[in-house]
Amino acid sequence: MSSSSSSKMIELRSSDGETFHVEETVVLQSETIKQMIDDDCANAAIPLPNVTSMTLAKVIEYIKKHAEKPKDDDDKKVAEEDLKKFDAEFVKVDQESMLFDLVRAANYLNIKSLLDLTCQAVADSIKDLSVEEVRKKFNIQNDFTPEEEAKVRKENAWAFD
Amino acid sequence: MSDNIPFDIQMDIMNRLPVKSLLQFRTVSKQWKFSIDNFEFIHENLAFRHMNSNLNIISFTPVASSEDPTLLKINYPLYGDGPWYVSVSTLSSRTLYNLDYDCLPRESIRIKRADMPEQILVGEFSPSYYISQLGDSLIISGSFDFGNFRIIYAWALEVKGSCSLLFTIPHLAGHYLKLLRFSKDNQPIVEATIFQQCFSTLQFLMFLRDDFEVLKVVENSLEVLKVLENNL
Repeated sequence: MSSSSSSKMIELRSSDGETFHVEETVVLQSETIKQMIDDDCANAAIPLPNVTSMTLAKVIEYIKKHAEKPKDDDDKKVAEEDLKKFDAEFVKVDQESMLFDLVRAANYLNIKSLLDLTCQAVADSIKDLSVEEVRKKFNIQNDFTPEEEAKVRKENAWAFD
Repeated sequence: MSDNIPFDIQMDIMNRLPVKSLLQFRTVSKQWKFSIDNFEFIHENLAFRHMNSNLNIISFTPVASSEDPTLLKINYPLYGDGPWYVSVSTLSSRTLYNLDYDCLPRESIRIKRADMPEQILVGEFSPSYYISQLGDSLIISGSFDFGNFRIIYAWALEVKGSCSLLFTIPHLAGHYLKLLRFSKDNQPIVEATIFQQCFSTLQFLMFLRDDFEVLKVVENSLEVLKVLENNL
């Protein structure tokens, strides 16, 4: 990583009051924070009332890794591979609620690559689930009557030999 | 509510699901069903494959289903070699879903034709087409504008699952064409509706010697007929 001596540090405060110091070049990956800095609202600690310290630590781990610049073309290839591995490991979280927290944080902070990564991870994790399990995961109320639900399910009957 | 994933993000996640999961998840909630049924998003989700084909046609293959005749629609590019994709539809829902490439059917396809009416118009999405029966085959026919012509096409879908193009015949633009049946020597008999400002004309056409010949004209105006005959 390049020397950080010239980079300005930005202070972020999580919903539970913990503060994190991150280089400005790194946090600029968040469009939300970039906007705040552009609007000159980043002189004091930036409050992030929707993000817990646990989630924020993860997000910072991600943006720090993604801020690393490869030195040359050879290094670039290695770095890309490395980043892929990092991304794959990054979404292997112990608790699934953490994955959902990361989706929300990526959305709130407007970090597109992280949102892509975590949405894909959620999609991968739910694709084989039952309808009931999906409802539970997203906290969705079933608003079909049993008859309506049976009818919709019937429409889905399609099978290949 | 801050604990929930915003709906637009839920849609983003849906967008990444395979079609098979999506069809299942239509019963999650009314909002999910609405989105899945109405999204263009599946288009973005396609695994496109390019095919060198000048075939400017849309074909439909019925697929086995326990409940409902199901159709596969193979969307070929209208111009050059653009992407093609396959969508699936059921007669009752009349909604099309595009399939992932890995969901494409294997070679053997069964046709279920129980309770199939003699001819049915599937027209709630564009382009509309007719499904009718001819002996052991289903005939899918329709017409579309292409350049200065109106092209009528018909596909025969055999019970064993093969699907073959019967014909594509260019006709005058502006005619609404519908395949009625086949003559004894297997020539298509086509109904053409010509919409004019104040009236419409109905013609029955038969394909002979590489062109349509008018068999009968109903509710015509003589002038219109003359114009048509000159053009034919």
